[in-house]
Amino acid sequence: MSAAAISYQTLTDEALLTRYAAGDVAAFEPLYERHELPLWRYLLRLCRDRATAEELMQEVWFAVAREAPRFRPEGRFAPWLYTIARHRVIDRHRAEHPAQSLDAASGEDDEPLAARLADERSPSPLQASEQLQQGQAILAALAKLPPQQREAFVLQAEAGLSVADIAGITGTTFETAKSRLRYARDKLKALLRDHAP
Amino acid sequence: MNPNDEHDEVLEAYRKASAEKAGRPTAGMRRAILEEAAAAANRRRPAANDSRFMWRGIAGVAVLSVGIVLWRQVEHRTPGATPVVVAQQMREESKAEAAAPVASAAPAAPAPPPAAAIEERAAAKQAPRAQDAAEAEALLRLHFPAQYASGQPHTVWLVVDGAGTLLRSGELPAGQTLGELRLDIERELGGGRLLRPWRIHTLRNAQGQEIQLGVAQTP
Repeated sequence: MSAAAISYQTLTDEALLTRYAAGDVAAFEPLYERHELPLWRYLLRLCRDRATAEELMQEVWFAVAREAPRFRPEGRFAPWLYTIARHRVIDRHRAEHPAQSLDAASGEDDEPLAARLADERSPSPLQASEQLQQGQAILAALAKLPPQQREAFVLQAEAGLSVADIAGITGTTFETAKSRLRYARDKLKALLRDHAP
Repeated sequence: MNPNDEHDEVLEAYRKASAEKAGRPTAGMRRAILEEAAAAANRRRPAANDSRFMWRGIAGVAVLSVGIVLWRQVEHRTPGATPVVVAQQMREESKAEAAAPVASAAPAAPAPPPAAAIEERAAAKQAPRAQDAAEAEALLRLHFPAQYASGQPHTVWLVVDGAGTLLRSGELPAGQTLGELRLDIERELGGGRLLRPWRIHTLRNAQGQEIQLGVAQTP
């Protein structure tokens, strides 16, 4: 490993993005590597469609590259990244469902988006038997959560974000974000108990 | 008990399942993202790092702006004149002014004296509408609520008359410049009405996205 690579590993996300914005192209890759999988899973859990998640993944990172000079050094990278990602998801939803308003896309446990995102198709008998396994069962249960609860949970589980960050990204209050996390956790916990060996 | 502790069991089970099932983005996508990041950095480099390029750009824009202002003033006062005729007329008037400043008011198509031209240019610079960012933001909210709430950058424009009445507004179509749009609007307005130069405001909307607001006024 080169000395330069070692030094990048020690830099914070914010320092890497600042270096990249200043013209250090090599600073982008370690930043991407750190957030590639968490962001990928976040998008996949919200879209549940691999092709859409791939398109959004590209759009988000292209936006990061383009908007890097506008990132404020006093800010934090992860909430900024997930705010961009969330906006892209909502924009995509709007484009595919123009009749639904922004409120419908981001409201509190609203039915239209919930209906779209959750339980899109019934599992086949084979899938149903596979879902008896705990791992698949928890993912299936997650998919059936109201989208706001699912999003809050995934932001915490994948991105490791705090309740305050989740509230900021989703444009809600600390208490609302906390209660969404609690509901999500309680439902998933109940499911885990049901599938306990 | 720390809420995060009781969360651990669920988080651990989820993370394990997610890591097994989600896979990862394709290598091709990763390559495309990194290539785009390099390209974006390269696109920024000349403007950000090469001060000579920047000063050349500023000088070029200044010269172009002065040229456009002069051309428009002359065109405005001599409707129907071709650029060649106007240029000749300017040269002749310039000579006449140099020889006899008092008699410089040409009879047929009087060009403004230098002081008046300077005042007019200054007035054009102080477009009376949307002078500051707050006013521009208010215009954005009022006339472009969708773009104000959007999660993407936009370029929008509006045209007002001298009394501040909205004449036209819209979003700049992809591939069109404000300069091209200006010609279209002037054709639509008809009657030889010309727009003052665009005043461009760079704003942030409610989602933090960059919005370019172009405001032009009829004289």
